[in-house]
Amino acid sequence: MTEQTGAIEAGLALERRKSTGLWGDAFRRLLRNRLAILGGLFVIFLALTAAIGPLVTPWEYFDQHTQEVISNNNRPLTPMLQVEGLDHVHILGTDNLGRDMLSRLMDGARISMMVALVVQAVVLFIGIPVGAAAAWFGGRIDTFLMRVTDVVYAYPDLLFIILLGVAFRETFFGKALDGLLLVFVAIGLTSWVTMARLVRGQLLSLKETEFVEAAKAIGVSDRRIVTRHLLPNALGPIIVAVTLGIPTAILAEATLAFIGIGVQAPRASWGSLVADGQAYLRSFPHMVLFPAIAIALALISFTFLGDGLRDALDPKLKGKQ
Amino acid sequence: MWFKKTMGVSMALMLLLAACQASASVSPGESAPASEAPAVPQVLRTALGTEPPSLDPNVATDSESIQVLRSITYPLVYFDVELNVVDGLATYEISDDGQTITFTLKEGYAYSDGQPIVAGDFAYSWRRLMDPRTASEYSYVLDYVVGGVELRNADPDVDDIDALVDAFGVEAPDDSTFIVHLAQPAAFFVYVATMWLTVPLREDMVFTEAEGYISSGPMMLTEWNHNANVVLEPNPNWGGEPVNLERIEMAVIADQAAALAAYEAGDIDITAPPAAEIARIEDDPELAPDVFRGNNLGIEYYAFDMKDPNGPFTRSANLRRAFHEAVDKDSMLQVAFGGVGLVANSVVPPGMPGHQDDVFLPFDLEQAQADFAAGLEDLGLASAADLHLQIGYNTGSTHESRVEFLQQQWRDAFGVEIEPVGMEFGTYLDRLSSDPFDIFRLGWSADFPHPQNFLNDLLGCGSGNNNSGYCNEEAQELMAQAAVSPALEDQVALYNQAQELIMADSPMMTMRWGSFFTLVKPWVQNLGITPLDSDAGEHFYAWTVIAPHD
Amino acid sequence: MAVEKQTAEQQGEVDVLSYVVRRMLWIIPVLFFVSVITFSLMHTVPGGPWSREKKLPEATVRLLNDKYGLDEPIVAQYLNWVGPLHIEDGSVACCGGILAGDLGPSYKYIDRSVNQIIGDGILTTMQLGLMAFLVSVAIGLPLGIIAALGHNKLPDYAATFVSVLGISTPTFVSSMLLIVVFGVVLGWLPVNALKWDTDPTAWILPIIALSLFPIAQVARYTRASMLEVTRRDYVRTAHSKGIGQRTIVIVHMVRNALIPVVTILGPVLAFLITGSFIIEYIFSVPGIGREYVSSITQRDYGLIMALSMFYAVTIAVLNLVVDVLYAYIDPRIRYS
Repeated sequence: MTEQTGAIEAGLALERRKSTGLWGDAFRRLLRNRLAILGGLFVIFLALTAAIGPLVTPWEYFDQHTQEVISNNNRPLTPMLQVEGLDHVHILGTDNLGRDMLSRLMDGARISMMVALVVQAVVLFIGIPVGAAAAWFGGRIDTFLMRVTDVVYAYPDLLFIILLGVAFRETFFGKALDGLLLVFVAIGLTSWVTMARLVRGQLLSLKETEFVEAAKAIGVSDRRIVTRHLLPNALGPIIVAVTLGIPTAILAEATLAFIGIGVQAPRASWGSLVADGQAYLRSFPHMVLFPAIAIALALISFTFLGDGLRDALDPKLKGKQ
Repeated sequence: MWFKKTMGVSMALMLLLAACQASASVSPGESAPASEAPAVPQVLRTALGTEPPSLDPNVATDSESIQVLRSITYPLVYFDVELNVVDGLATYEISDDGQTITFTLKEGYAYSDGQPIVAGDFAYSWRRLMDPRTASEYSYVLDYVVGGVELRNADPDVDDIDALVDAFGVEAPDDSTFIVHLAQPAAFFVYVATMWLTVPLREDMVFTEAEGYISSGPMMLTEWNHNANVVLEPNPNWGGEPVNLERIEMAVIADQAAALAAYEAGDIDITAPPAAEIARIEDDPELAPDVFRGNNLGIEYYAFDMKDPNGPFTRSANLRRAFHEAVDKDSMLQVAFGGVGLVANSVVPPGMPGHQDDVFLPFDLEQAQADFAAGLEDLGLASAADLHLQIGYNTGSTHESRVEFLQQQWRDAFGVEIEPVGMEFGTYLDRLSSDPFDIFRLGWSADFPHPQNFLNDLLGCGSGNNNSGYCNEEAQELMAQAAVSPALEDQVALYNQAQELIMADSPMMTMRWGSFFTLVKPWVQNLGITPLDSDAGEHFYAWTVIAPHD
Repeated sequence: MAVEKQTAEQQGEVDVLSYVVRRMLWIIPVLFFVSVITFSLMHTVPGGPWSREKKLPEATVRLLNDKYGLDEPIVAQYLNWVGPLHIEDGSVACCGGILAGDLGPSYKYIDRSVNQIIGDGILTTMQLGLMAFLVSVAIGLPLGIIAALGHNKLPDYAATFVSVLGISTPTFVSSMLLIVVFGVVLGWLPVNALKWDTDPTAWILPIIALSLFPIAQVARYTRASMLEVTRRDYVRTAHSKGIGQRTIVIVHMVRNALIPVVTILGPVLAFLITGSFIIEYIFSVPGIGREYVSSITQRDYGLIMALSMFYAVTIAVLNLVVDVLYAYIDPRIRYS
C-alpha cells in the first residue's frame, strides 16, 4: 500500500492514466489491496469448503454418535474431548445427538453460501432495473415504480415469508434445497426494495452531474448512459449494499430458524446451527460459538472484499493505490 | 407460547395409588408454622410463559392461565399435595348407584367482593362451561353429566340450545346444595369437580381486567399489566385455610432461558429451565440443590397414519411393529429428551389406574428387521428403497432433535430414508385432522386420572382426538364394557385387556411419559409440586411461606 | 438576486406542501394493497383460529364462525373488517371495522379486543424503537465518519471490526450474552425489561441489543458515503481554495454524505419499530412486537391485520419523511 496522507488527498491527487478498460484496471487495483485479497481468498476457501468439505469429512452431517454422548454422562462432546475407549475425537465436538460439529459446519457452509447467492441474486435482479428505470425516466414511471416499491416495502416481510412458506411447503419449489430456496426467494422478494431505492437515490444525484449532461449533449443513448456511466458510478454503494445484504440474509435465515422456519432438519445452515445452539449458549457454548464464528469470518471476508471492489471499481480513483 | 403443550390439565388418582405419592414433592419446611412470622416480605415471585390468554375459568386451557386461576378461584373439592381428594368449597356424597353426586357447600366462603358463594353459582358455571356458545375446549369433561353430550354437540341450526342448557343435569335446590346427575356411574368424576373449569361463577363477572375481577379463591387479582405481570393479593373474604403470603407476583417471561437468567439473578423464585440447561444445572453446585423433579400424567407419542386406506401403515401391522421395535427409547430419552421423564412402554402412564408395567414392544433390532421384511412383503415391495414415508412434527419447539433421532434409528435398522416435515402448529393440526403424515408427533395430558381419558380419547374408534384413525373393534368393545362397569377394579381389568390388544397392533409409538424439572429457591417453603402440575407447583402457591434469607 | 431567491423559496414551500399531501394520499392505496394481500394470504393458509389440540365439536366451530362472522364470504369479511358498514347474514348494519375505529376481536385473547391489545403495547414498542434509533445514529454516524477519515488505517479497521461484530451476531445470541454477562454474572443490570416503568436501567440491555445491528448498518453506509463524497470535485475545489480541512469535512462532506445515509435511516427506524419481536420476546418487553409471530401461528386474524397495518403505516410514513428530508438536504432534487 502506498504511503497515504489521508482520504482527502487520495481523492485530490487524482491522476489520469491511459485507459486499459474498466475491469482490467479494477482488477489490478483490487490485487493491490491486501485486505481485499485476504477477504477474497477466504471467500474462495469457503466456496471450496462448501464444495469439497462434506466429501472428505469422516462422517455425514446427520450421523449420530448417540452412544458416545450417553457414555459421556449424556452430555454433548466438547471439542477434542477424548472419550474413553474411542479411537477418534471430534475436533469441534458434537451436538446433543452426537453429530460431529465440523461435518455439520461444512455442510452448513454449502447451504449458507447458496443462501448468500440466491437472496442477493433476487435482490439485484429486481432492485437494480427498478431503481434505475425510476431514476432515469422520472415522471410517471418513477411515481408508479416508487408506489409499487412502497407497497412491497410496507408489506410486513415476516408475515409474507411465513405465509409463503406455509402455502408452498409441499410443492417441489418448497422442497428444493431442503426448503431453503423457498425461504430465500421469499426474503429476496421482500428485500429488493431497499436496493431499488438506493439505486434510484444514487442515480438521481448522479443524473444531474456534468458528465451525464455532457453525454446527453453529445447524443449518447439513454441505455448507454445508464449502463456505462450511471451504474458504474453507483456501483460503490451497490456493492456495499450487497456485502451487507449477504450477512443480513444469513442472519435473517438464523432469525427464521429461531422461530422455527427454514431449512428442514436434519439439514442445517450456519444460521440454523446458531439458532439450535443458542439454547446451549451457557452449558455447551461450542455448539453456538463455532457456527457464530463461521458467520462472522464469512462476513468480515465479504466486507473486506466488498470494500476492495468498491475502491477498485471507482472510476475516479484510477491509478491510485 | 403456542408450541408449549397445554399441560396443566393433569389429574392424578386417588390416594390408593402409591405411585402418585412417590412423585409428589414438597419443598422443605413443610411443617414451618405460620405463627413464626418471618421477618422477610411474604412475596412469592413466579414466571408465566405467556400473557394469560384468558382468565375466564370456563374457557382457559393453557398452563399459564391455569397457574393464575388456581390461586384466584376455588372449586367444590380439591386435592392435597399427596393427591387425596379433599373438601374444597363443599363436601360431597356419591349415591349408591354412583350416578348422583351431592355437594354441600360449606359456610363462610365469599367472593372477593363480599357476596357469599352459593350453589346456584356452580349450576350457572357448569351450564355455561357446557354451552357450545361458550366454546370451551375442555367442555367434554362434563360429557358424563345427563344431557352433556347432547348439549356440547348441539347444532345451532337444528337444536334449541336454551332448552338443552335447561335439561343439563345439574341443579341447585337451595343455596348450599349442588347436585350433579350422571348419565352413567363414574367413580372418577369427582375429579372433574377439582378442575379449574368448574369453579363458581356469576353472571355479572367479567374476566378482562384486574379491576372488577371477582375472585373465589384464597387470593384475588389486584393487577394485570398485560404482557408484563400479574399481581395477586389475599382475598379478604376467603373462608378457608388462612393465607400467609402478602403477594404473589407473576412476571410474564416468554423465553425459558431468560426466565432461568431471571431466576439466577434472584428476580423470580420458581422456574422450569429449558432442557438444554439441565446438564449445566445438575453440574452447578449452586443450582443443583434447588432442583425438583418428578412425573406427571402425560405422554409424548408418534402415531401412524391409518386414515389412508392405502397407506403402508394401514395395510401392514408388521410394518408398524417394526418401526416401533427399532426405536431405542432409552437412548432417545437420554439424548433427545435431556434425560427427563420416563420411557413409555404403553399408553396409560404410571400413577393412573390401568397402568401396566409390561414392555409391550421392546427395543429389538433383529425382531424389528424380521417384522420389517414381513411388512415389505405385506405391501408387495421389493426393498426398503421403495418405501417413501414422511414424518411430521410441529416446528418452533425441541421436536426436531427427536425426529432426527428417529430418522437415524430407522436408517440404521432398515436403511430407509424417512422425510421429515416440520410445520407451524396451526397448519400442522389442520393437516393432522384431514390428512395425517405417515408418522406424526403429538402429546397428550390427562384431563382426569382414568384410562378412559387415554385409551378411548386417543385410540377409540372415531374419537375426535384419535388423529391416526386407528380402530380395533375388539378393544372398543372392551372399553365400552368398562365404561358401564361400576367398580374401578373391573374397569381396570377391561382397560388392561384393551391396552394389550392395542399395543399388539402398535398404532402409535409411545415414547415418553410426562415429567417436570423445576428450580425452586430454598426459601420458598411449603410448596407442593404434584403430578397434576405443569411444572410450577401452582396448586399450592397461596400457602407457601417465604423463609428469611439474604 | 435577493428577490429571485425569495420567490423561489415561496415556490418551494408550495411545492413541498403539495408534494407531502400527494404522498400522504398515496399511503391510502398502499395500505389498501397491503391489507388485501394480507387478508387473502391469511385466509388461504390452512388452519383457523379454532384449530386446537383438543378438538372443538364441529357444531361449536360453526357457531363460533357465525358469531365472529367468519362464515361470511371472504369479500364480505374484508369489507366488514374495513367498515364502517357491517354485513351479516345478508343484512347491512352500522357500524364496525377499522373505519369506525374497531380493529375487531382477538381469537387468541378471547376476552379482549385487538384495540385493547394494541393500545397496551404500542407505545412501549415505539418507545423502544425510537430509543434504539437514537442510540444507533448517535454511535453509528460518528463511527462511520471516523472510519472514512481514517480510510484503510487503524480507525477504519477498528470501526469495521465493531460493525462486523454487530452485524454478524444474531440478536437472539447477543441478547442472551448481554443478559448472562451484565445481568447474571456481573449483576449490574436487570435481566429483563419487566420493570421498565419504574426502573430506567431495565431498558439499557434491550436497547443495546436492538441497536447492535443498526449501529453497524449506519456506520457502514456513512463510511461508504463519506468516501464517495471525498472524491467529489467540490471537495477538491474547496480544498484548493485553502479552506481549512475541518470546515471542509463538516460543512461539505458530512452534509453531502448524509444524503444516501438518510435513505437508510428511514428503513432503520422502521426496522427498529417493526423488527423488535425477538428482543421483546427475550427481554420480556411488554410491547406488541412479541405478539406478531404467535398471532400468525394462532391465526388471530384481527391481531395479524392490526399489526400488519401498524407496520405498514410506520414504514409508509417513515418513507415519506425520508423522501421529504432527502429533497430538503439535497437541493438538486426537486419535489415532483
